[in-house]
Amino acid sequence: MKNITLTLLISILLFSCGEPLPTELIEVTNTSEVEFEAVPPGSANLDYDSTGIVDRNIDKSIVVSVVGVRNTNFRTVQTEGYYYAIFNDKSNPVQTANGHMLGYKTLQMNSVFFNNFQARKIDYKLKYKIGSVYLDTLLGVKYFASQRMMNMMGRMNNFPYAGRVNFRVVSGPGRNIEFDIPTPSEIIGRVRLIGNRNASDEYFDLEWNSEGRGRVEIVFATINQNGEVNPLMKVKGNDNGNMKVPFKVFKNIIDKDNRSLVVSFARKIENTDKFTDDSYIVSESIHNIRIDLP
Amino acid sequence: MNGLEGNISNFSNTKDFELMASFSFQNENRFNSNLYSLSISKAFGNHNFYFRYSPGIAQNFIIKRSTTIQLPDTVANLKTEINYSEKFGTSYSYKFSSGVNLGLSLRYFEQTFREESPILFYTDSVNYISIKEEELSDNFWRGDLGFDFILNDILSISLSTINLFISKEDNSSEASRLYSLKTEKGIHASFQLKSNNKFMTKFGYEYGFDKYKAFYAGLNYSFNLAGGIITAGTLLAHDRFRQPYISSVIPSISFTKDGYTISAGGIIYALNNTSKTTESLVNDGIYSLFNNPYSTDRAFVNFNLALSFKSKQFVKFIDVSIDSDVYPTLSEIYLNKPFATGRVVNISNEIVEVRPASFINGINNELIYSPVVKILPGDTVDVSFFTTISNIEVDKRKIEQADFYLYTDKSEPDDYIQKPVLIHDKNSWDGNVFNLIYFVRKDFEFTNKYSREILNKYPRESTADVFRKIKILYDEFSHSLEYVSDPRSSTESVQFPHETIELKGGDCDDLSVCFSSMLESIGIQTAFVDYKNLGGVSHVNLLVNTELTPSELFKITNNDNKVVVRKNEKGIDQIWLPIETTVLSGFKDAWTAGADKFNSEAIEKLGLSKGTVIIIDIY
Repeated sequence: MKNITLTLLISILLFSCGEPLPTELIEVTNTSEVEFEAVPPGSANLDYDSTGIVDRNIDKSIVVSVVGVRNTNFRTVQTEGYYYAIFNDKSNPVQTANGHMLGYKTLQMNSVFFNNFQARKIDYKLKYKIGSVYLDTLLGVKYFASQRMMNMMGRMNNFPYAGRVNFRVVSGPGRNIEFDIPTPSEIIGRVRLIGNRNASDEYFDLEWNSEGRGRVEIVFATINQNGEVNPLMKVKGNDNGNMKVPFKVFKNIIDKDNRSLVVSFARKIENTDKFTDDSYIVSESIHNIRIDLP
Repeated sequence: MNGLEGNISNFSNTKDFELMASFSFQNENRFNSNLYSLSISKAFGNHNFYFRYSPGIAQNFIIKRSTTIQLPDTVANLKTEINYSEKFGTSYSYKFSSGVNLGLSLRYFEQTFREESPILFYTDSVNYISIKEEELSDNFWRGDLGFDFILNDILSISLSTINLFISKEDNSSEASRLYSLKTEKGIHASFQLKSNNKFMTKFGYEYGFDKYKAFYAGLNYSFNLAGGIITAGTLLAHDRFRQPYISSVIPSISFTKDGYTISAGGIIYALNNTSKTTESLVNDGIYSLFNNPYSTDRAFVNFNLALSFKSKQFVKFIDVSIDSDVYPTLSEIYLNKPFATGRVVNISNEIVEVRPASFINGINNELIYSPVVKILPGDTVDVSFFTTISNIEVDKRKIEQADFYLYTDKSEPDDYIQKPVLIHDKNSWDGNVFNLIYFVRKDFEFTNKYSREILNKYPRESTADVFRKIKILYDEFSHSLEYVSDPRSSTESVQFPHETIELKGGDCDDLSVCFSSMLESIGIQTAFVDYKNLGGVSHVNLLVNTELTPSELFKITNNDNKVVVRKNEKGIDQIWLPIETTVLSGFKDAWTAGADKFNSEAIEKLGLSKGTVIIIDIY
């Protein structure tokens, strides 16, 4: 009996160390492959893009962006279109004092046209932060047009969703560029807050008109009393028309002084080096929805 | 498995303490062993208690979600961990008889859901997303009832509930709603068939009132080896949520010897690659942590140790029968004649010497041991229980509990049983004339004094010989008494001599006992003459030894029909006088009546030859 007891005690010591192995399960939902990504601060282009989606530091010689925007501010709806082009001089990079790459000085063309509407030449400034101080640096010019400008000139009333925007650059004989930029269908979203905050199961129910293919980006931004938008987080998911984002993600963002959010739905078509060498050409549909949280 | 999964009623044959340890082994991608359960059971008579700590009864899941987070240096997948475990269980059962057992079990389940979710932080200079882990728990108690019916040596049936009552901590979270263990109510029925103690088959069915359905069927075979018992068997199981129809095989083998059992077994699934998606977990759920759609092949090694604070049992009672009532005054007869007989079986594998013992409350002052009996292995024998009477002063007839014990070589008895015994009062008599002797002897002190007082009233020369003493004593005795036929309305009651003197009367038994005691106490031999009358009332009177030889007959009478000649222990003939003690008109009449009766019944009717007249000497 002593031997048995001893065997039992040794067995308990030897074999009882492990824990039951976990079983790995695969999640099967209709909102698969959701990516969360923080948006760097100060990246919003307040002129036309509250989302900060457009990365101005794209390392390409030609960067062209056409954006159709719908802004829903409670019951008010406004539509707008923005068109711009930047020609980077990649032989002339701009860096901060500590060597951080900011971008490139830009090149100037004779003229740039979007759907035969000549874009304006405006300053291309880059805002960056050193310590707690924001600094502007002038990189050169960018070519810019808006839907409102086009309307005033009677050229094009609405952004051509699910169509094309003709882009033409005149920079001298043999150096002209022309191609059509395909545009996505317009995205129209809806935001609802569902669930019980005390039970920690409250979530944003995001719905939009689905294309059934490709991806969408949804950006969450705060908006201050001056109407300044600060994009915080980008969520990418399949363009299937629905996404749920837990409210607790914004636990540190929403407080009694800051109860407004801007939710931006974006559908885009990106083309890299397709129409011309070393280029990044993007067309987007963006729907910005401002909501005040209870 | 020895546990609450298949034994809700906690049916157990544990005699004392039993310690059980079960280890689980799995080899899924990597080898893993863990303590499956550690349990202890303790029996207090028919009450049985069981407690189990079960770290291995668990099912853990990791759900790798399709949600990713772009961290500064990498992309992280969010995950959710779900841990189900049965932390401990306890049960109680009561054995109403060797065939009926009722039990109640309680089990505590823990469910934790650890969910990772993104959380956004931002400052003036930086926005970043971190991963926050949130843990929710949803624990509950499960209680069930079970019954066992052992109909005979062959068939036994068990019935138990599934999730009879659930006591849940309040939790209304989404994770709890989606992933909680299923607690569908149902019943579990099984029956077991034994054959020759070698083959045993078992069939069980689990019926949930909604979705859950399962059954199992198995066969065991036992044989002796190396002084122990080997049992090998296989169980086939069906589970509605697993494919194919017979989804698993559960082989096992065990070795039992001297209070310990080592067993090994396992569960082998026909298909291990069942759908492992969150969808199936949410839709089908988990009904059992022991066997569910996500369980994989597993081996078990179990140790059962009967911690014998009680020694091993060698023999046990089958029953005890009471052979006779107890008559306190007849105490000495129980030294030679058993008052009870026990049927005892040797359940060990060795020859056992059994020392039976008994204790009758109110009669014995201590345990009375009976002669040792040797029993061969497996044999059943009858064991006699003798006793002595320590206290004869029993005034009323009553029923007392007698305790019967079987001792082997230990200080504690191997088995014990209690039976009621009828204890008569001190005047009760079993009707056997031989046993009147005890009434004679019990009052010698009184009768000796009484006889001497009478004789002392007479001159020494008138009491010099035995005949004269007999005559004087009888005359005095008869003058002070009268014959009363059965004063207590019972032929089974006899007065002690002092009672007869005090009551101044009695029936033939009382008077014969009294006069016999008066003579015996002063050294005069007497004998009872039992006149048996099968159709009527029996009668008893006395023969008294005058110590005269036949040649001296003339000294007392000329009529040789008035005496009986008997040889003493030296072979010398002596003259005995028949005395009819119910004739109280004097010695002469009693002698004459006694002689007439004796001559008529014993001699003329050949009573002595036929056995209808018996002479019982009082020694």
